[in-house]
Amino acid sequence: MNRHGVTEEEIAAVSVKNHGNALNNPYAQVPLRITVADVMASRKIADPLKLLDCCPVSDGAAAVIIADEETAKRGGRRPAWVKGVAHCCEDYLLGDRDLADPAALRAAAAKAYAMAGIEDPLSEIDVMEVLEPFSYMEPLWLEGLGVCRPGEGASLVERGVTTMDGRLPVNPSGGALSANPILVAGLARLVEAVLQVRGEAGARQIKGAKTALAHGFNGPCGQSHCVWIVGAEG
Amino acid sequence: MGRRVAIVGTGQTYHKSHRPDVTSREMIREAVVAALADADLTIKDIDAVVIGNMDHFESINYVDTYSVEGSGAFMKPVMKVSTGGTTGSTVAIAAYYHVASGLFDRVLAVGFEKNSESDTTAAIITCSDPVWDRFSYSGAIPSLATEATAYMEKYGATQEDAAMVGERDRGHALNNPYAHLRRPLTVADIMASPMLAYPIKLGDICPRSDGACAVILAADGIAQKIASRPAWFKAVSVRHTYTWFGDSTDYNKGLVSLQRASREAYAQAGIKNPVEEIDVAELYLPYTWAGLKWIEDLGFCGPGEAARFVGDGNTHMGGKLPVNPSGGVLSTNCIGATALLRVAEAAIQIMGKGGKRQVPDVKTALATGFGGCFWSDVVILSAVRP
Repeated sequence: MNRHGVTEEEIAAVSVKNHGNALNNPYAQVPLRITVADVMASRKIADPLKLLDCCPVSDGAAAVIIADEETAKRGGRRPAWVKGVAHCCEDYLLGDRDLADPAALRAAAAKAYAMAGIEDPLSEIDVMEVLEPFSYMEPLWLEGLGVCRPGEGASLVERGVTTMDGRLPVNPSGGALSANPILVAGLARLVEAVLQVRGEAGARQIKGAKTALAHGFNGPCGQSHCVWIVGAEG
Repeated sequence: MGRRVAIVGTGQTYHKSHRPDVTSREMIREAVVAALADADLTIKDIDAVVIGNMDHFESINYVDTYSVEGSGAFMKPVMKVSTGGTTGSTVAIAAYYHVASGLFDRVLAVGFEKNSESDTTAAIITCSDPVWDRFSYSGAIPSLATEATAYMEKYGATQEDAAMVGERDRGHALNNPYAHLRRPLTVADIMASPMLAYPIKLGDICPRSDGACAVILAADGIAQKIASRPAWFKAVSVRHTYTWFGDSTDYNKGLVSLQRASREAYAQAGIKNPVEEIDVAELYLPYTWAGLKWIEDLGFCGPGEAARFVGDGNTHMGGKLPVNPSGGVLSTNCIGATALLRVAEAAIQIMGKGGKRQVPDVKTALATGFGGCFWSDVVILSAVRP
C-alpha cells in the first residue's frame, strides 16, 4: 500500500471475488455474497486488515497421487501432467527483506516457468490457484508470479482480469479466504489446479482450461514459496 | 530407477549436553561449514537443502524457514522433513530422492537438535495415544522398557547381556573426538547406575545432546569430481508400522519395521548374508537392549543369539561386523541429527576419513534410523559405484 498507493478498497475486492467464487465450490467453508462496502465495514483485526480480509480457521485434509508416465497413462482417469515445479526460500528476518516484493516467489516462478516452457504467464496460463489467507496477498503474489508489473496487482480484480470471466481467473475455488486448513491449503490449491485441467471442477470450472498454476507459501510474510504448473497435455 | 547418488562430504559439531554459546542456527552453521569444507565446496554450489529436527521439542515451527541463515538455504529450495527419531535418516533419504530424481545435482542434508532448549519427554509423551497407549508407553524410556522386558522374558537375556552393548559403544566413543560422552563405562558401572524404568538404568540409555550434522550428496558424474572416494547409495528403505505402540510392537515378532526395512534394503543392495557382506554398521541404538534385539531383526544373528554374538566380540572394533565405531547413540544423541550422524559416520567409514575410529577397508556400510512409534529407516552405502 505504501509503495504503490494501493487502497484498502482495491484489496477488499479480492475478498469479494474469492468469497463469491466459493459459492460455486461445495468444499469451501465460507462462501459469501458480499460487497466491498461489507469488507470495509467488517471488524478491524490489525490495520489495514479487517475480518473479511482474513481467512477462517478450518479443519481439513487433501491428498494427491503422483505417478510415473507409464502408470499415469494406464489409469482410467485423465491425468494432470506436471509441467513445472519449483520452490525457493528467502531470509527469515522480516527486516532483511523487501516485504513489498516477493523475491523467493519470483525465483521459484522463473524456475517453474522455465521447466514448463512458459514465457508469458498471463497469456499462457488459463487459471491460477494462489494461496491468499489474507486478501492483500493475492495481488502481491500475482506480481511475484509475473502476471503484472509491481503495484498493478491490486487493480486486477477491478479490471476484470482475475474474475471468473476474466483473462486469467484466479482462485475459482474461493481460495484460502474461503477455507484455510493452513498446511493443507497449498495442497488444496494443487488439487483445484488438477481439477481445472481435467475439466472436473464442476460449477467452478474455467472453460477449456489446459494449463493451471498452483501456488503455496510458508514462513512469515511469504518467506518460502512453491509454484506448480499442471497441464492437460503431457 | 533414478540417478546414482553419492555422499561427497560430511560435517558435524562437537556434541555436548548444553551449547549456550550458540543458537540452533549457529550450531547448524557449524555443521554446514564443516561439510562444505570436507567436500571443498561453497554454499553457492548447493542446489537445494533438506533439513529436519524434532520441531515440537524446541517448539520452533517451520524450522526450514527459521534456519535459513544457518543452513545457507537463502534463495534456495529448502524442505523440512520431520519423522520423529528417524528424522535424520529420512532427511538423508529425502535428499537422496532430490538428487536421484534428476532435478538437483548437489543437495545439502541437515539434522540438528538443541536438546538443552527442549522438553523432550513431555513432547514425546504426546505421540502416545492418550487412551490406549499412554499408561504403558508414556515417553521414550517406558516404551523401550516394555520392549526390553519382553525380550528378557522370551530369550532369558540378562541385564548384564544388555550392558555389554553399553560398554562397547561407550568404549568406541573414546576414538571419536566429536562424541558427547567420552568416558569409559563398564558392565559393572551400568549395573550400578540408577534404575529409570526396569530393566533400563541410566547407563543403558542415550544422553540428551546439543548438536548438528550436515551431509552433502551429489549426482553421478559430479560426485566423482568432488570426492576421491564417494560413498554411493546402494539402498534406502523407510518402514512405518502403526501409530499405536501396542500395535507396532508385536514382541513375539520383534521390531517388524526394521525387519522389513532391512530386508528391502538387502534386496536392493543384493546382500544375502549381511554379516559377511557388510563391513561396518552404524545403528540407531538409543538403549542397550536395542543392541541385542535389533541386530537379530537386522539378521546379523538368529533370534535369541545376540548376547552371545555381541559377547564373542563380533560387533567390537576388529570384530566380524563392527557396530558403532563412532560410539553410537548411547554416546551422542542430538535427536534430529542422530540418524543423520549414522549415515554420515557410515559415509566417513567408506571415505576412509574415520581417523582413530576407522574400520580398515570398508566397502559396504549400513546405517539405520529408529523413531516415531517403533519405525525404521535403513541406508546402505558402498565404495563401489552401483
